[in-house]
Amino acid sequence: MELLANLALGFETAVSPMNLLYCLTGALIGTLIGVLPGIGPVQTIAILLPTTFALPPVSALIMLAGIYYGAQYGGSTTSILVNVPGEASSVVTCLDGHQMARQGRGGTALTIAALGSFVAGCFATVVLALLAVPLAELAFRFGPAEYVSLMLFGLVGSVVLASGSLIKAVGMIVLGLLLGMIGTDVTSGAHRFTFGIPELADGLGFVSLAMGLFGICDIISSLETREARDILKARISGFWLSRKEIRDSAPAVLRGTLVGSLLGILPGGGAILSSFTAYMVEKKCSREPETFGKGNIRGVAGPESANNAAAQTSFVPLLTLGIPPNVVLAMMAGAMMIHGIQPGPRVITSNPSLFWGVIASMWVGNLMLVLLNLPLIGVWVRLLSIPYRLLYPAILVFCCIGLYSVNNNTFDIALTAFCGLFGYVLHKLDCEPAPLILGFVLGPMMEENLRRGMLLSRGDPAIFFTRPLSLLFLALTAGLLIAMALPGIRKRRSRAFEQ
Amino acid sequence: MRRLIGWVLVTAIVGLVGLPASDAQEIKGPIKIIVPYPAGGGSDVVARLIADKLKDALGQTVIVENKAGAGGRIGTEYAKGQPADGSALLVVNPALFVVAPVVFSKLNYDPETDFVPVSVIQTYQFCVSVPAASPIRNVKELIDWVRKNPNQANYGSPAAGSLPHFFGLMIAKAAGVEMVHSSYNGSGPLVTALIGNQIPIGVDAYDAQSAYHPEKIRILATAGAARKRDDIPTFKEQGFPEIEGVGWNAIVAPAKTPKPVVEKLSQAIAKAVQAPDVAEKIRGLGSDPVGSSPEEAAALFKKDRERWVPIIRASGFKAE
Repeated sequence: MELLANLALGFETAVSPMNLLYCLTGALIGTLIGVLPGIGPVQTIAILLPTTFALPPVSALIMLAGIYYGAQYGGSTTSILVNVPGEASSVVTCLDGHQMARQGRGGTALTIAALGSFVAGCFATVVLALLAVPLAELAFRFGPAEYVSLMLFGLVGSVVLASGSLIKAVGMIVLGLLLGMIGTDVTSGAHRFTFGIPELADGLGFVSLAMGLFGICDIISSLETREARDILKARISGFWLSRKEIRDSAPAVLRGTLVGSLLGILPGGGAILSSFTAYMVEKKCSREPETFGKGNIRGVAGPESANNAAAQTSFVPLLTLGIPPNVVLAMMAGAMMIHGIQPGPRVITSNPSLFWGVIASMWVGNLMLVLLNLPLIGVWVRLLSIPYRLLYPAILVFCCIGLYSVNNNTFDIALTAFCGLFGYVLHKLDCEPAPLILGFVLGPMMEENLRRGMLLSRGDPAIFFTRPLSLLFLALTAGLLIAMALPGIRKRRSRAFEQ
Repeated sequence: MRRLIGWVLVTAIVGLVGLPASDAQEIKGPIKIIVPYPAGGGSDVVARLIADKLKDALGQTVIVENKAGAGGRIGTEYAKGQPADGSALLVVNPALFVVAPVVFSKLNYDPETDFVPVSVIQTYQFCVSVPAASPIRNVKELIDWVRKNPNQANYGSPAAGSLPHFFGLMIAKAAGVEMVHSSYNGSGPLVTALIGNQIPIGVDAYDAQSAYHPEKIRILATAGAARKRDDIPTFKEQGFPEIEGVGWNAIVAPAKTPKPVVEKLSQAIAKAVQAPDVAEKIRGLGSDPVGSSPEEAAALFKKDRERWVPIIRASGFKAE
């Protein structure tokens, strides 16, 4: 009953005309920047943060939240149609989504991405409302040992996920781990591989690396081929799903939603990790894993549902504990502080209309996104069917603006250009950048926790095997490795990626 | 004729008295407050609060420029090269002005010669805390526990080389015990670890943890001269007068900024900080609004160097 009263309060706040307007504005801006490769929610929220000063805190947060989940919707459009992830969390959507577009099923892919996101969004809103407090408790069970084991599981899993040569995938992960070591060592505070360049003291910028390896590199490599252009000109039609497609994708949407909801609340998790995990789960569940990477609708439905669910449930740690689980939520925490609200456990009791209003606005925003985006896909697509000679310079300019706005530093732009060239070399060598990015993100966190675990146990590695949750993840990792080593499965894997 | 002479005299006097004075204090806007951290952090929030007030007080556009990177050192170096006419200000803290000169062998700025102090915005206290589930109730019990459990005597700080890191060493030194330091990636992760009972002791700024006391984290003591909160005694009250330490945010200007300009800015900033609505918001962040004169700021910088530098040197901590 209390929940109903709370939700009523939330909806009362969320559907006030002004908040509806800001919700719509946020969702639209989010979709736009999600569609445009290069500019993501982090940069956008950073740019718009000063303008939210004048707004009441609830409206400001509703708009900023709208940008975040709106970007998850928009990001898939670019992934599917141009094979350039609009968002880091849409990287895996490229694998099957773009193949579907090539087969003339682009409309179907877009529809399932939007519907999957909506279902996930609705579910995540309920999760947020029902389980905010108890779910956040779960995250506390994670000490250094649990983190290390979970991340190890994630990294091994990403090898399974990578297409092409196994050796290359492992190589890319290791390279990602090494790149992640650049910067200030969290444990000792020492600078590593910075060559005396102060800009490198914070490590390679994630935005620069991701934008270079995916955005810029893809622009360079598509300049070589002429066919890529025809895809954009091909008409996108057939937005309706066939009954078989619904039957195929429904379970994937549900699984993706669950994976995303769960991983979203873990600190350090969030949309990116969950879309990767959901793809892996889909492939593992499938009776025909070889069709993945060739336009399997589940490869779109799972990850797209997962990233949207995670984008929303990642508000759990922020709104209940004041701990931002990722960069975007860190910006949200900043926005709250600017408005004099200390993010934390007291938000629910001291600002109930804000807490429940933001939650209710997410459901409202998701509804708006589906209603608007399915008809508007035409507009977004037209945005992308601008000739490459106009689109590419525009994307590059947007990338540069976005990059510069992160730190107001030209170094980041130069770094991105370099990463773009490096990405092109990788592309020529048939090395997938996705495992590299995952290694880059997880590596530093894993190292930090590994060393903290060893420090706390005074050098005794037993800590990783004696804690039940940690042991569970290690067992799963071992299982994955054994499965990979079995000749039968290995053969199936290589068949799946044969092209 | 007499009238003319009168006018000439008046003009001359105005010229002599009025113009040079206004010239020297005229600050050519827009004024930018450089924050060497990303938007949304603690120092960014106060900079924006003050910028809003300064706008009206000085009749100039005041903007906040975030120049983040390398723990604030990039923005500080950038501020050093800005015009020294009052149009550029920088928000600094002990990490940049006290710790960095000791731990970096190649630092691209000198806090003493490249900048002049303008005003201290706020001070904040450090505290030591334990998870709510911990049996430890006060500093004395904490030290007994550390003595009895050397293998578990770990304390977490928000970053290696941060003042809380060295504050932990100060506690250990005063009590004559040893504690192993484990750094976290910021205050948030440290709070998570404490709430989840993953680390037995936490040392951080009071405002980073106060929201969780006493339900999830028990703050054992704060490190100021007076109590920060009625139910939390200071170290001094618990028999450790030598354990004292506050952090601060202050505004400085490039070294060659003329003295009258610094004075004028300092007064305007002090007034902005002490304005009831701003002061209230700063208190809401868990810290104490100050709004000092340039001399008081210089004295605080000096006192803190004397307090911390020996501890930092003794720890052997080096960032490179």
